[in-house]
Amino acid sequence: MSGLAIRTRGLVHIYHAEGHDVAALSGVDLDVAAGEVVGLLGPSGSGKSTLMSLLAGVLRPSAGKVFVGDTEVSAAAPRELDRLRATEVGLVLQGAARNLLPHTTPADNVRFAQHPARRAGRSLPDPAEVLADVGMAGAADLRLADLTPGALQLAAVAVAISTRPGLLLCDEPTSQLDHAARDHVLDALARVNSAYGTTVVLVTHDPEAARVLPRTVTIRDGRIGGEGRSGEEYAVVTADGFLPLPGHARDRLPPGTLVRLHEVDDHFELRAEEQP
Amino acid sequence: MSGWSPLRFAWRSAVGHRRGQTVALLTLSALITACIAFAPVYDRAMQQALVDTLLAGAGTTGRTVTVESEGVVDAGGASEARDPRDLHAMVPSTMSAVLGPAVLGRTAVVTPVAGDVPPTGQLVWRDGACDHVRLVSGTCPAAAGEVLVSEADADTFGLTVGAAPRVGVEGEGPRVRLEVVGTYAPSDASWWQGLTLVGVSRVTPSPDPSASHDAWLTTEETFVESPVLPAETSQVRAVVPTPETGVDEVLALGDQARALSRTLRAQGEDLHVRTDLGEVTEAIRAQSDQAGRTVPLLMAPMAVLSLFVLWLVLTAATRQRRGEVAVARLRGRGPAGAAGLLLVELLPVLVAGVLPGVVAALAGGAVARSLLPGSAPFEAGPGFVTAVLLAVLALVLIALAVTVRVAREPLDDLVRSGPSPSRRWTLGPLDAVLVAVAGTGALAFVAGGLSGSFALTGPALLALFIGLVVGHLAAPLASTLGRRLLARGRLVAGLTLLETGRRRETRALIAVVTVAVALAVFSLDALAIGAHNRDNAAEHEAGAPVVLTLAGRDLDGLRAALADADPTGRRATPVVVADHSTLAVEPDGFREVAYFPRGAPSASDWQAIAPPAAEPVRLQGARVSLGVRPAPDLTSQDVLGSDSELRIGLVVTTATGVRRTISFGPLPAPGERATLVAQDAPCAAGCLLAAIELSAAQGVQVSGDLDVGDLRVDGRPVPFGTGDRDWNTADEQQVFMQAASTASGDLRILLSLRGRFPARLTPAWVPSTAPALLPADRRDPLGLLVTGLDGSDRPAEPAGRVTLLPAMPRRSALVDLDAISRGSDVTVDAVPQVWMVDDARLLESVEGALSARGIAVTDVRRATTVRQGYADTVPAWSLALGAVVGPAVILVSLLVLLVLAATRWRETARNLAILRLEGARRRTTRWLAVLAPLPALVLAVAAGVAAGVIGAALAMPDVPFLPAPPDIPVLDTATAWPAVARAALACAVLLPAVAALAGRAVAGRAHLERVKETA
Repeated sequence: MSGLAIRTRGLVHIYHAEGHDVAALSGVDLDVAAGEVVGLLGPSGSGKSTLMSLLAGVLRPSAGKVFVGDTEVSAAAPRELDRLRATEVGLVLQGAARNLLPHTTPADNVRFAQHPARRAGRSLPDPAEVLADVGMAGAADLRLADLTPGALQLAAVAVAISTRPGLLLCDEPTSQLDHAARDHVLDALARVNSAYGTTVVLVTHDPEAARVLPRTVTIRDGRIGGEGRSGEEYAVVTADGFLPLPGHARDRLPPGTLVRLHEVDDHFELRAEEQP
Repeated sequence: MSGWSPLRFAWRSAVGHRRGQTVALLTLSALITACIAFAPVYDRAMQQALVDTLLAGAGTTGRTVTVESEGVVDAGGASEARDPRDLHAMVPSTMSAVLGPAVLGRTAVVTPVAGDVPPTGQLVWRDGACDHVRLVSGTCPAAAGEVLVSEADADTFGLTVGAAPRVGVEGEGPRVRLEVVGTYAPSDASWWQGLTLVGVSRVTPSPDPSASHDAWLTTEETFVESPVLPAETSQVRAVVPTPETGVDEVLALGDQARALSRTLRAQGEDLHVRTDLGEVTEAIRAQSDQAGRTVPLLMAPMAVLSLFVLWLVLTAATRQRRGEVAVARLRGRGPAGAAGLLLVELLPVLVAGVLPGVVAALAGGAVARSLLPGSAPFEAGPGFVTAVLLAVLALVLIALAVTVRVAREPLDDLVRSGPSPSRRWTLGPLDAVLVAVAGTGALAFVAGGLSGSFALTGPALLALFIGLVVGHLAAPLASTLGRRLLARGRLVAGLTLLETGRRRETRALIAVVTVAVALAVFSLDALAIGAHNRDNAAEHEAGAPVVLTLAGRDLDGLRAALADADPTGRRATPVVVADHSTLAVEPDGFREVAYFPRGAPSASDWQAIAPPAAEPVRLQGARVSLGVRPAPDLTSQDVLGSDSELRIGLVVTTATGVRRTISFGPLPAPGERATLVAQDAPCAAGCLLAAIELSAAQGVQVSGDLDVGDLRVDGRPVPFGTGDRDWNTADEQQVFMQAASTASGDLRILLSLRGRFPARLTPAWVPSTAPALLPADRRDPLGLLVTGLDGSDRPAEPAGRVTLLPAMPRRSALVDLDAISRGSDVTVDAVPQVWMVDDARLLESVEGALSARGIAVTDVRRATTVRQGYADTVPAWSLALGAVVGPAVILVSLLVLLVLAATRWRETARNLAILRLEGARRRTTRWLAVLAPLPALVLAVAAGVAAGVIGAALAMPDVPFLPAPPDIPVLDTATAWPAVARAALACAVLLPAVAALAGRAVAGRAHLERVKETA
């Protein structure tokens, strides 16, 4: 299966918790091309994981739309969502153990993940081959309890890609890993992307990890606060014309500051007015 | 390469990694199955025991089914009894298949027409009779008219071989000539199906002598060839064989016998079905109905508790597997697929538990059958398979409900670590529904609004309601209190209470333990109350350890015999029961021997029934004289106004209960003094003055005074009281007699007699009214009368109340034997008895002493026998379940504690490890682990004991403790506090001890490395 594109429009998600409503996302418009690798960055509580959950159909948005390929995930029926997760979308939750059946082996987990797709007639690679793709050829039949944290994370990735999904969503796949293990995981994700054209979206706090990603999207206060392309940081104009300021600019331009936009030759200058 | 195998995964999880949990689920499943399946097994065992007991008690006579035809002679002519073979053909084959071999027979009552006192007795033909008696002389009858007689008849009536008595027939037919061809002695009593062949051959001499002969055995031809004999019948009889006849057969036989009776009645008025099976089947059904109330009362809450516990344990087990459910959902399994993942692991374990449950139920049934009386083989009973299927269904449904509940949770909830415990005071939807249902039921139960089967759920609903409410309040209260204690630096106590409030399972644990403890208390309370009430009933019915009923009325002989056998007078005492309503006793001995199961009379009560202290007037001699002087104005006139004769006499007793009148004849004319003389031989040996008697023709009116004095016996003056206090005043509707003193020293009797004679003035030695102890609920708005030893009503006065009088019905009275017998006759209405302790040597001694005085013992009643009779009833056996239910529910609670500890030990150990990392000492964490469950358990045990006691107090009045509702207030349903205390102590020690041990074991695993484990 080739990669699946992602498109979100006006995505809003509000958590209702004990009398308080908290807006985790407040109008997110995001486009990810098929086969692209995108990192979601942002401080804790900014809405990254919520966005991932909405993309995987784990949550339904309070407003807005989410498209994965041709499927409108935000409006899909539960069965359709189950089918998507069984065949087209692989999700790796934060904490490798949460993605795996305990008391089993990596190979068993792959078999478990492949089972619905196989029953649906899909031709899928052998679990050993899947595990080999992420560099776990020798650990297929080890007990999970005997794996290192890095190997566990790789096993989780292997399980998520075991059905050759068009979209792989990974929440903090490198957290709590040492550098070698982190690199191993990132290599594995890159291999999957290049080998199968899988679209990869991953959430990370790790600047080292972000640096190697071709595209990053920074979520801030529930909105897309900027994008990074090949190491360069950009602010992104939203569909309704807003321009979120980058973090370092916000420190110097507190709320209420009057700014003027000057068109100068082929670019714009943003200039703060002196306060009377 | 092999694909995904759910079974392999389930096996690894259940057997490889969660063995403890698997064993707990298996045990719980077995327990639930055993509970549900044991009820019909035990019910069956009780029915079998009851059938065996009832049939054994009924004897051969009670077990016989007889189809009988009567011969009739009336104005329309003679109608012979039918051929027994025809009667046999009328018995349905379904009955014949169950009954023993049919025996054909004919009987009549025959009396020889000749002889001074011709004996009357049965003439009997039974098919094959000669094979079942011992031929002593002669031959077996072979032709019409030939008879075998008993040896006693041969001796008593001279019916030797060759004798040829003629006997009468019904109507005007010719007499039938019989011929004695031999003599027999009885043998093989069971074959004769209750017919007593011998033992009645005697002549009873009296003014109107009579005689009876034993059964005469003859041939069928004797009946066939003769006219209709008196009371002639033909029969076919068959006995219900024991012990091979089971419950169903007996019940069916009873119904078939009733149906046959109706059918035969339609075929002819001469046809009858005679059997006592109807009583047996009624008793079986009545007691089965009682079991239908008591068994569910004990077992249903236990089964419900077990199911609730299963729900709780499965919820804990599935909560532990939320991560696996989340993985399944993430990998595209829908809720059904995720539930399937759990069910593949859990359901086989639960179903596997059914087998040991079935085995346990059957083993329990077999044990119960062996403990219960009777020898019928063990049977599972018709409801067993249904019960097992019901258990399986309940297990499957609960497993489905729990797993589907988890699998249907929103995926985002599942991928989070789990629902946080609620510390709020508000109720969740499920809790609210449970509290509402249990609360409504409990309220209806307390208010008496539950009836029928619903009433049986009352105690469980009450306990559940209390458990839910206490559980709901406990968590936030413990949290609040814990925070305060922590703020004051009370680390262990504060953290313990905080842990109680924080734990997810606190509410459910309190609810479960409350219900379990309540049920344990309830069932053991019911068991103790049942035993107590059966003892009450047995003691009341028996009256004393041993009661001998005697023939005759020789009270002095009885007293003398007992004085010989028991010089202390405290171990055997005379009692007389008059007309089943008056219990006359000697208090000193009686209070030592008799049972007063619901409270004995006080010393003052006994004192109050004592006879008057006055001494009797003793007369000894044959010639008695009495000086009399009617006052001049004394009138004695009949209804026409003419003067009428008034006679005087002395009533005396020559022995206790033997009364006679010494008649002096008519009084002299008014104003004249005379000395009247009478001869009375019996008084030569001594007698006691019981009354001065005046008699006249009925209707005569007497008014005036009569002076009496100068009483002499054989010329010797006999002093007798002449003061007004020495005599009782007779003041009845038509009789007034009052004593007064005279200056001359005579006794003056003031008379006003209105036509009712004889009129008697009794000395103060004879109580005018009998002081009596009465049952507490006896009411006599028209005045108290008790039956005297002569069968007449005597005025009495209440001297005290007790709840029950031993062996007496509701309307009865206890009086002093001496008081009630003074001056009184003892007639056939009075039955003398001996009430005594149960001592074989004393019994032998008493029987010997009685026999030496010619007093026969006609019946022996033992308290042990009566008590065993109550023990061999379904109510007793039903309540015995309490001995199983009580420990079983405590076992269930222990299981819950262990399962909860097993399912959350990692989380607890990790928390303790974190505390250690933060500086808490190992000893502190150990204390925390040990103490953590205690507040909830102590609270639950206290709530459970309260719920059990309240539930029992409310439910016990509806529990059948005896086979039939008693007519007297023998039941005492007050709480059996010793049993409650034992149950409460067992719960209060066992549950916290096991929880503390489990906590200590978890604390031992709280290594610092656990901090790294994810929650």
